[in-house]
Amino acid sequence: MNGATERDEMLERLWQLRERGCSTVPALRGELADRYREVDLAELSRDSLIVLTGEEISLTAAGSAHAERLIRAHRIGERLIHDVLGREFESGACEFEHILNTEIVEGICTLLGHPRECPHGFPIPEGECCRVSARYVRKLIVPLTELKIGQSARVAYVYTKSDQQLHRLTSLQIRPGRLVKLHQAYPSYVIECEGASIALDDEVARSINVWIEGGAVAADPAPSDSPGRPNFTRPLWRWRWGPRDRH
Amino acid sequence: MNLIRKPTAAPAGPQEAARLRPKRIDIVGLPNSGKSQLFNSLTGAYKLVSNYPLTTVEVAKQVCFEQDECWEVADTPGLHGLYIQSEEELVVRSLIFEEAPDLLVQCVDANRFKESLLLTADLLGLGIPLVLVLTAVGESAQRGLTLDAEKLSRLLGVPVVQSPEPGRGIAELTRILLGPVSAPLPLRYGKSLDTAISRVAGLLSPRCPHPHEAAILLLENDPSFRDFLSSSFGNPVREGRESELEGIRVDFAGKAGLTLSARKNRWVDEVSAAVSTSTAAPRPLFSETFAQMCRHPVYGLPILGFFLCVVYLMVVGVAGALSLFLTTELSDPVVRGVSALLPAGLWKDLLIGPHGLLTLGLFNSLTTVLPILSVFFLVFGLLEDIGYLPNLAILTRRLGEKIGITGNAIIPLVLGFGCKTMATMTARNLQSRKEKIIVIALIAFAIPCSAQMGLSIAILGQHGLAYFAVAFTFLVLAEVGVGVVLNRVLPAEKGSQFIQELPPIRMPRITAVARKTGYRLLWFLREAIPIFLIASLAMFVIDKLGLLALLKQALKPLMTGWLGLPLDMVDALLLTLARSEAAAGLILRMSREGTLNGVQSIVAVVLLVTFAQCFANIAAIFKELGARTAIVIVVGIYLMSFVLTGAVHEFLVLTAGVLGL
Repeated sequence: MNGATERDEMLERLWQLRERGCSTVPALRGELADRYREVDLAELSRDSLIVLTGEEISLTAAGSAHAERLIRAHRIGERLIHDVLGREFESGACEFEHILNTEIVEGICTLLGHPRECPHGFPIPEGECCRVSARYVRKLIVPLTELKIGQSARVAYVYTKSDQQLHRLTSLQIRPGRLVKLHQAYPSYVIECEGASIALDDEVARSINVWIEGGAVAADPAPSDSPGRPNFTRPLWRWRWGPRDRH
Repeated sequence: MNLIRKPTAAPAGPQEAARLRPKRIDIVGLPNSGKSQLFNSLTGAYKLVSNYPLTTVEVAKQVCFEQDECWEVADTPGLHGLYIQSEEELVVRSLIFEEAPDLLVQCVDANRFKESLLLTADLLGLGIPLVLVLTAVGESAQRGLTLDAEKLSRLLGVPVVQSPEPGRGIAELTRILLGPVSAPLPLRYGKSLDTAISRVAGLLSPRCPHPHEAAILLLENDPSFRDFLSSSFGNPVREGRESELEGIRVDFAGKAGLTLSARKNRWVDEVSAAVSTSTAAPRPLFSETFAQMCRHPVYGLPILGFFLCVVYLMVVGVAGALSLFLTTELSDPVVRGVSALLPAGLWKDLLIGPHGLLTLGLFNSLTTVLPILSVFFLVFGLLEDIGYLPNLAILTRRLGEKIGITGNAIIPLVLGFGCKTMATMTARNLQSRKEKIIVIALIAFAIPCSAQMGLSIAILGQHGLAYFAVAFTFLVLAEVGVGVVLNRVLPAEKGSQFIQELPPIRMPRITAVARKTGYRLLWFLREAIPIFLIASLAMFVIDKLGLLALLKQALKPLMTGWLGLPLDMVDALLLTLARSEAAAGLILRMSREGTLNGVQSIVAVVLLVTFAQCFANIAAIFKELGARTAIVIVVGIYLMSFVLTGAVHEFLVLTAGVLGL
């Protein structure tokens, strides 16, 4: 492995340590174990990517930006492998950040519907695509709340803050790959999944992201109830706030 | 039963001990998967069965004999997996780990096959002989899903029994349970995880039961599991091996749980794909459409109205008439006969006086209360078995948020209409203490339990539907008011998320409902008749001692002034301390005889529902919330009851003309 990859690894670890709030040399040594080399640290310092103050390590603006790109690629990669290709993301994704360029990462990020967290629950740094182009690209993955009543979709991923909730949803079979059908959106979301009817509050429903076929939902600005039934199932204000397809 | 559980002579050897100890069979499964039904069929005992989750919150055990074997069968609350998510689940896991069942019987709801299999995946790891019972097979076949039980049995290496309808397949299950059932093989999780699991299992102390599954749970890092093992079996890890366990966890960088869960899910998918066939797009079932309409903000209301009308008409029309008939044909002649036979005096008063053992005790329970409860329990049981109430309750969720409760509180609140004590116990799985306090207080305060509801309808129905509507509007407003105030007063807590499985709408089976009603009435009679008799005797004694007159004098300003009720209502108030049905029976009679007019009946019903606290429920409140909070709630409710009832009286005095009452 060349030195650049090693230094990138080190930067990534420093980012993660900063997330945990313990950016020190011993912590870094503990993280990298036998891959830890003094020379890499010195080179990072020489390139002004980090600043060493005694045992404390801090990322400079340039170092931080570089690490952010790497972390973003890594975590987007994990999402891709986890959500789309299967669930064995551990071995694959750690090399991702070294092969993907920013454009590909943006593409995958858009494809995945701009996920906010990696499968482990760590935040994915926002990319340019999340900030700007999100509105212009057909979203293939939308929160459950964007589905029409009676529409079915496959779960892409579940974005939750708590392990407990993820566990609960998983045990109810609401997990990537499962087909869910939205029965009702008001006063509670009610979905059918694997034979069970499950009521959810808005926050939980928003945390479940689903694949939709050809962006049909996004193309329809006013989701309506099934034909022949009045639409009492969505509050009026949400009609205007739904995502729209500009193409 | 005691003889078998506690042998007097010390067992001669392990074989003798095994013979003396009954074979312990635990029934486990998802919530609302038919465990209690199976328990009843297997043991011949009866415990309540309903079509919604949380019917069972505590473990029930029953000893029964099958051929020459003695079984102790345990019915457990619902369980999703051994990585637990709520307090009832904790109860089940502790039971499995602490009480060493000889056999596990899992109820597998065919409708929710994959969800059930995820639990099976955990149960296989325990190394306890396991038998699967496929329930609701007929229902799932209607929905287009058929399961190959034989293939499932071959794949899992465990016996599988089909129970297409409740109570079927029991003979086959019994046959299997009598024979030897071998322990199943645990799931394989792939080489590296399996190695890790057996390494962790090797680190566990010999006292720790089910080391394989314990190792998996430790790797999954279930936060409560380690503490549970430590408190029940001492430190689960062998001395000095702690660091090794940490080492294995570090090897997986804290992700063992995720990978284990992914493997389990994949296994579920594979097994399910192998044994299930789904036919293409079955036509939408009426039951599903109906469930959706019950929850619909617009269609839901007429359906609610319809059911309310049915309940009202049945109670007022059928039960009221029945009760009146029994009173005039049975109790009145007896009273007249006794009156003719006995001379006026103490004995006559004791039997048929205003607080007589026959009038206030026996006839009050048998001819006044019992007919109403029979009809109401029957209708309510139908609603329970349809699964209507939890589906309806979804409609009220938004309102609930305003009074500080999330959707998770829906089931406990709904259960309050059945039995307040059970409802209070189910509130234990609410995560936020604030929510728990609000829910328990609301259940205790103004939700009428099924007996109170039936009798209230009967009392108010004599005056007309409007009186019923007014009284229950007040109760609803009182509940909302108390909820809003408690929500403001109690310190805010992080709200928990609402994820609730809803029971499917089912066609109730008349036999099951009749049986349930029969048992409810039996329990009522067994518990209530002695209390009715004792209470009337006590009333008789304090009346004769002159204490009642003193008390009436003392309560006069409150009763006649503030509440506008006749002074004789003090009797009813005292009776509520014993049993609210006794008071309700008295109020019903007073209302029939014209001692209470319509407006007074409304006031009396509001007082009855809020003031009458059943002892079992007070005990449950103490258990769930601790003494201090419980005392505040109970005392608060007694005070609030008078404030509310008085306010209702004042309001009705002012507006009775406008309301047309």
